[in-house]
Amino acid sequence: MSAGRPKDEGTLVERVFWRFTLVILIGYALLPVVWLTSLSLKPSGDLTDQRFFPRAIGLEHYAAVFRDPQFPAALGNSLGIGLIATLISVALATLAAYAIVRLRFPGRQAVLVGALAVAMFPPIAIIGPLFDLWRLLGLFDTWLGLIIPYITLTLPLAIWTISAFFREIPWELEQAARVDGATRLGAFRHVILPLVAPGVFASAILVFIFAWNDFLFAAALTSTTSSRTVPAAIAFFTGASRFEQPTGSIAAASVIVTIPVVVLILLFQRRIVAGLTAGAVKG
Amino acid sequence: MAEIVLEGVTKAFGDGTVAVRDASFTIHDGELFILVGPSGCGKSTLLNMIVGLEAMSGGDLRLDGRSLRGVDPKDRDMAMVFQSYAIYPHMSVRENIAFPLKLAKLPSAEAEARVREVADLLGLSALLDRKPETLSGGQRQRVAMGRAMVRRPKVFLLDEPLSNLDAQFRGQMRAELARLQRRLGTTTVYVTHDQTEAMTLGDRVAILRGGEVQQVGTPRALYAQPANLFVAGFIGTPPMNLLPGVIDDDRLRLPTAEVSLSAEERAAIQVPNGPLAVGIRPESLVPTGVAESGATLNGRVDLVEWLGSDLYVHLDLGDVGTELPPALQKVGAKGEGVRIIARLEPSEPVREAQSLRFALELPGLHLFHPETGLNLRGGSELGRWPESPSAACA
Amino acid sequence: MSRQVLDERRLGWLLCAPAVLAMLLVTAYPIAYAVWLSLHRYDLRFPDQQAFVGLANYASVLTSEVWWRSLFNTLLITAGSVAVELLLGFGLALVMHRALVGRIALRTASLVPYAIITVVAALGWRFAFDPTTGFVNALLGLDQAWLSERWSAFVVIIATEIWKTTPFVALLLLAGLTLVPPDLIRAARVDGASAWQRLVHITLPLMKPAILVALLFRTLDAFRIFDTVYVQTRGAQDTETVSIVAYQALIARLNLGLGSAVSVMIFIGTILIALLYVRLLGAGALGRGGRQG
Repeated sequence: MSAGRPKDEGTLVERVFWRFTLVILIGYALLPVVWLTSLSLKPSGDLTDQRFFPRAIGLEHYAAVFRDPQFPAALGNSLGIGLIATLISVALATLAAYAIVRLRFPGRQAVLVGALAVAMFPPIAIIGPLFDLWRLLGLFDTWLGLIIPYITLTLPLAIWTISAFFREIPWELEQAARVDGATRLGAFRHVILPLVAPGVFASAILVFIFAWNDFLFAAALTSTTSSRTVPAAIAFFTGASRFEQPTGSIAAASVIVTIPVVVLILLFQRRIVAGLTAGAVKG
Repeated sequence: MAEIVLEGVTKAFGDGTVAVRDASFTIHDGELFILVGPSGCGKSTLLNMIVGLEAMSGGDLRLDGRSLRGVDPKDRDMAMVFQSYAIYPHMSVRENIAFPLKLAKLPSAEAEARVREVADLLGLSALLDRKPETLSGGQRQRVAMGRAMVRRPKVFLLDEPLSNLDAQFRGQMRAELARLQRRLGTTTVYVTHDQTEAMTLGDRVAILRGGEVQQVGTPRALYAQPANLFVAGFIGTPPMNLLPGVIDDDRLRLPTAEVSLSAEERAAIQVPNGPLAVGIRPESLVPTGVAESGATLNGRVDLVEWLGSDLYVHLDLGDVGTELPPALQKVGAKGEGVRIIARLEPSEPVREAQSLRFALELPGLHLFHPETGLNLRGGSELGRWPESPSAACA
Repeated sequence: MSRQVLDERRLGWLLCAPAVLAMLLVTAYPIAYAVWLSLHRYDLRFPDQQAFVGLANYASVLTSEVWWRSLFNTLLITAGSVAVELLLGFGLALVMHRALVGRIALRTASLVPYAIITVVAALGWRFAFDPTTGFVNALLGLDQAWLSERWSAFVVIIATEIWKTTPFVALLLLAGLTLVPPDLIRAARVDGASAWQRLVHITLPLMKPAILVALLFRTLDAFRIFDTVYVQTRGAQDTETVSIVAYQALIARLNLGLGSAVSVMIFIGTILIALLYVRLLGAGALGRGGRQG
């Protein structure tokens, strides 16, 4: 990574300082995750011991979470809704981004600016109308009722990042494919799409994270296990007793839904960073 | 058989800029035709219009008599090598070369055979399974050539194919390209900004400047009979020396020299008495003894460049005295103190600050109109040079 | 105009149409509907009392103490979290830029706060500060009911926001930082600039666009804060933000008219913030062009 940079490690004091800083920062970034994990592993009797690390380890909260019907349903809803919204959003954004970067037509700047405006849009402003409309249209508490707003609100992010990746493609390759005998569609399919695929994939991860994360729409537009997603399910989680908050179960559920996120990060951290910064810096 | 005819081909943009204006010439079957000019002269735009990547805004383009207006690039049966080579980075060398065949839906056995044949010809056989990022510049260039050849197109289009190679390798690839083109006999259009490349490679050359075709001809014709001051200055290294001259009935006055003209010679120069621009090739300047009679050019040696095979002598002719004609100012000749370069035998004992004297003869001089820059003896001598070698067999 | 140009236009519009329609249908139409709703008395609990009331809903919003206090709370959380995030984020970006060892580990770790579900993060911090389950009081030797008092609740909310979004700010700033040509820094060093002077006179001015972009996104994001506050206090102890007020009116009390008026006010607030930054960004871009020219 740092090839070409002089390997100036500095004095011993500097080295120790940098290592120490690094450890502190990494610890800070992971703190709540470690804390929730240790909470989820504490036996019920130890939950109020105010200690960061558990004295004893047990899996009872994990068992409880999966015994309750709410959580597995929410997990399925979140995965299904998130994946469908991601697929559609990224497909639409790829078409639009290709047009914006590659074709000359009046209004392409307007599409980018419009997308930026949507990105700044406060979702709370449309909760009321959507709530009312969805009840009328029968979309309240359905998958589709969440998929639609997720597509809309992730399109700007997807269009901007995919456009940024499209801009990096040497377009002579498309011309070459055309001269080699490809139609515009053929050139797109055989040459452009394989090259932009990593960028599209990076955008897809970001879009999925958005949908996976959303609480506002999930809280307002769902009411039962048929479409309630993970964030809403966890926030509204009630245990066996109404009077005692099921801290252990919530912690266990939190850990479970954080695992896919961590796996995505570990596998694709470079692409996620590229996607996050691609749209912002060049725009 | 592939003959390309351009008739008034024009590319104008919405904002009024014109990239190519009224280009009309014919590219004969089997010839290596060069489009050359400084950057921004419109040569790449012209090439893109020939291959169909850019639409013409005026004129017509015909391949073997068939108009190509509105014909998609994929249906033109032309192959192109891009300046960047445009190698598909996600495909192996084999897949890159086979790509046009795959699009043409050729049976895979035949495609494989053709790829192998091309790879053999270009010395790429050992590299077929490599990915482009592991290839050197020269290898990429050959992959691009292979991808163009594998379709056996009617026409090859090459856009500055050597400009991304280092200088040493460029000469080698140039010779290789020339041999390959002769062997395949495919009509080839080659774009370059390098006049040496144009002169050494081209059967015929079109020189462009500011979107306009200046002259079309064989390298010899362009060298011996430049149509105007721009061509004169563009072709040849070192470039032609340009001097301000004044014509006055039977005399042609130059800085430090005067040439007398016969009545016949004067009549051939179709310009009224007054200023004009005069060009002399560096090798037309032959040193002469002091005693010799006739017109001589005198200068003080300013700088000597000894190249082993050549000797370039820079000379200062002193103050011009007269106004420069407008055409010369356009070419960028400097006002104070006329400098010229003479190309002499390397054995010639020349020292800096010494004086040199050159014999001047009218046939060695190129005369240009003072305002338009057109060659004043254009029509009379063009016939001496064959249009193209292949024209004889056609 | 040639056929090719027209074809290209048609294709361009065709390819953009689905995305543009999807964006318009779920933003422009609902916001127009929200404006219409805000001009009506429309309470789902009393659907037969629906009537046009003009600006009455806005009048009751603007005269209510709840709105002004929630606006103050929102701006407080916005200012507090964005300011700290920017400082911490810049520090983190510098470390990521300089670190030779463990750079990838740091970058990977800092993606966790960005990607983790906000509700989960908010719960994690709530449990950490909780007097019975949390470790914070034990660690600091305090006996503080953090989320039961207004100001300490703000501390927890802002701390959660800072933890969650600093890495995002840092990554944006890091991207800006890598665009500063190293040669300029070296030249300044040769010219005798100290590390601090190089930062102030070379690095920061060149990073101005990246900083403004990060600020814009974060300010707008913080202004619509909902998840963290909802999970940690549900707006109790006077910690309501404008989004919480709108949500409670719309979804909890089903008063679509009044709730929509609040929503429209939030929308207008967002536009004002965006315009402010667009002006700053425009000036920044101009300033940069001037220096280069």
